Amino acid sequence: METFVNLGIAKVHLVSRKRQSFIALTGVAFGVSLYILLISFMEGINLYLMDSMLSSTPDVQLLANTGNSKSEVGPSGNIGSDFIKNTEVLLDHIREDKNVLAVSPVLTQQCILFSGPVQLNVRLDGVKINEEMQVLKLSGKMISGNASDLAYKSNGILLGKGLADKLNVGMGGTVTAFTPEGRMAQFRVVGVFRFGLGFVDNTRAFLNIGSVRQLMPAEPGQATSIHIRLKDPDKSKEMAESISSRYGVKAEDWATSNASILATVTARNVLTYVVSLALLVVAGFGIYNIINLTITSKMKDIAILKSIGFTGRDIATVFLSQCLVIGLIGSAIGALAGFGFSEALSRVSFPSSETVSFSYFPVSFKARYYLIGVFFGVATSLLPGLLPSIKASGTDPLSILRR
Amino acid sequence: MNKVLIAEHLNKYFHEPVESQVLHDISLSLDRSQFVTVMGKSGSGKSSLMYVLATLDTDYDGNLFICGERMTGLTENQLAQFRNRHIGFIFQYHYLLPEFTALQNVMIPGLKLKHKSSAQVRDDAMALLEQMQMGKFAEYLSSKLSGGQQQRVAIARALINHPDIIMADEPTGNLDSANTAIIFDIFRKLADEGNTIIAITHDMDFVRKADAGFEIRDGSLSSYIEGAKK
Ligand SMILES: Nc1ncnc2c1ncn2[C@@H]1O[C@H](COP(=O)(O)OP(=O)(O)OP(=O)(O)O)[C@@H](O)[C@H]1O
Ligand SMILES: [Mg+2]
Repeated sequence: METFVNLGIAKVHLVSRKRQSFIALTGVAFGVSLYILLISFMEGINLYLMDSMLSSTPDVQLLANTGNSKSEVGPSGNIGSDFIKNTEVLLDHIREDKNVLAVSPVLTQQCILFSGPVQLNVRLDGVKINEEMQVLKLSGKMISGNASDLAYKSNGILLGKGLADKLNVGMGGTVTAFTPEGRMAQFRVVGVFRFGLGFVDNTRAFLNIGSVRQLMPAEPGQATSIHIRLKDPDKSKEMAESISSRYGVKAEDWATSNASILATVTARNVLTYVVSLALLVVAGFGIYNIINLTITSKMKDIAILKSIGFTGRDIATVFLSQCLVIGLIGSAIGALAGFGFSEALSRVSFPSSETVSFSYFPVSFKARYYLIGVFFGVATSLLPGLLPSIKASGTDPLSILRR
Repeated sequence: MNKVLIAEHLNKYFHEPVESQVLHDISLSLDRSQFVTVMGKSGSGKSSLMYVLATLDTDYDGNLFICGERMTGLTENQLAQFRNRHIGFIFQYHYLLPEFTALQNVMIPGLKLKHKSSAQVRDDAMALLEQMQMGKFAEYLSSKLSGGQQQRVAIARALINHPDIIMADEPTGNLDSANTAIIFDIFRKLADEGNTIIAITHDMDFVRKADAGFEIRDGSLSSYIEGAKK
């Protein structure tokens, strides 16, 4: 009221219409907090899936190029059952590429795993574990055991969490593998991993490449796929294309391998923004109504203020600053509430599911979401106030004084 | 620079609902420290004249000077600032801001002008309220005051920036005779203190308290009545 008379008048207006100010404030706070909660949760899921994808999928994966698409996916759903030609030469070439961080040859065999009465269809990835661990982030995903133990336990096997649960085996337990060709071998569990993606954790096992070679059988130096980790994962697509054309192999980047998951990420993002936008638009309409009502009921005040020397700009300031204050306080409350909601949600345990394995609702806490939330909160308060305020600033005091 | 207000050949027309002329070639001038009244029948054009003189209405022909400055042709913003600094207003229906206290209402034009610190404006406003016998109502919401009290607050507000001219449109039109008498006395006192005042009124008693009086008839400033004081 004292130094900044326009703001002082705005304050009196806000305070003397407590109920309306409160409703406007609540609308903004509600919109902002739900936006923050929603985006934190959706981004939490997305980040979790991205991390799971990136750690369980090589940046680029090379497969044999047979020209016959049927043999790539065999009768048993076997991926890459054909061998890559000249694997050793190819490995050396790729290893020398300056974009490449690590390469790992993989021998994949589809088979059935037994443990007691349970039998499951499993993809056995025969790897040189020390090389594979530079491509896939296995070490961080171990629930029990060490992935690197595989190096000196020639009949060892690493099982996905879902797989181990279904087979009902733990560390030190044994499983039996049967190939469709009728070969058989026994392995001892030296570790259990969980990437968090059902289709990996329920169907994947890692063994030494030698074990799979015997089981298939394959010649030494042969591989069904080559896993590549790049220095810059963003270059995956172009690298896949250049390797594919240079060496005549089929090369797939991680995004292509995970296209279906990436589609759900996009869908979630779109949903988040649509819902948040709808919330904020509703809040904005509420504010538009309230500020319009305030201005209509204040026409007499506007005329008085103008007759005692307030300019149109002063009048607009009086009403816009009310919107701004509602926007700022509402957004601040909304940001705090959003943080509280997110915090609470992150403590709620996630119902167990086949496709993903969270122990708690995944929630991502990032200052960016709060800044965006506050920005939108202030914008949805200011924008609806703009038109009525400009209208108010142009009011002809005479039209009211004359009655 | 003895003339506070000079109006030259003012003509004003309304185009709605029918084409009509409300002000006919009105010329007048006010000396500093002069207290004049404008009388006239209802609908004769008193308020219309006042709004033009007050710079609130810019839709007229002719010339208007206040304190030697030409008002005609100034922009809305320039006029608003000029009113804040030089003109004090008193309307028939008090026109206070209802959600503000009496003191705040008086202070607002002073805070807007920013010639004084807010503490100084507060002290001045308080002094004016005391002068209007309204000191003990300073913290009342203006909507909680009676009509006569509100009008006294409005007068205090009109005086806060020491205006060169005070304009009043039927300041007692809404009041009972006791309150009317109080307001008359206040105006007389203000005039004696050297304020320049132009007031519209129906009341012959009021006219007699003034230095001079005009009468407006069908939009023409047709006669001049010597005030009882002169
Ligand atoms: N906005 C307007 N549009 C058209 N005509 C108007 C408008 N305002 C006033 N008039 C007309 O102008 C004439 C003068 O009106 P004005 O309000 O100046 O009268 P007044 O002398 O103040 O009357 P009162 O004593 O009742 O207040 C009237 O005939 C009125 O009908
Ligand atoms: Mg009138």
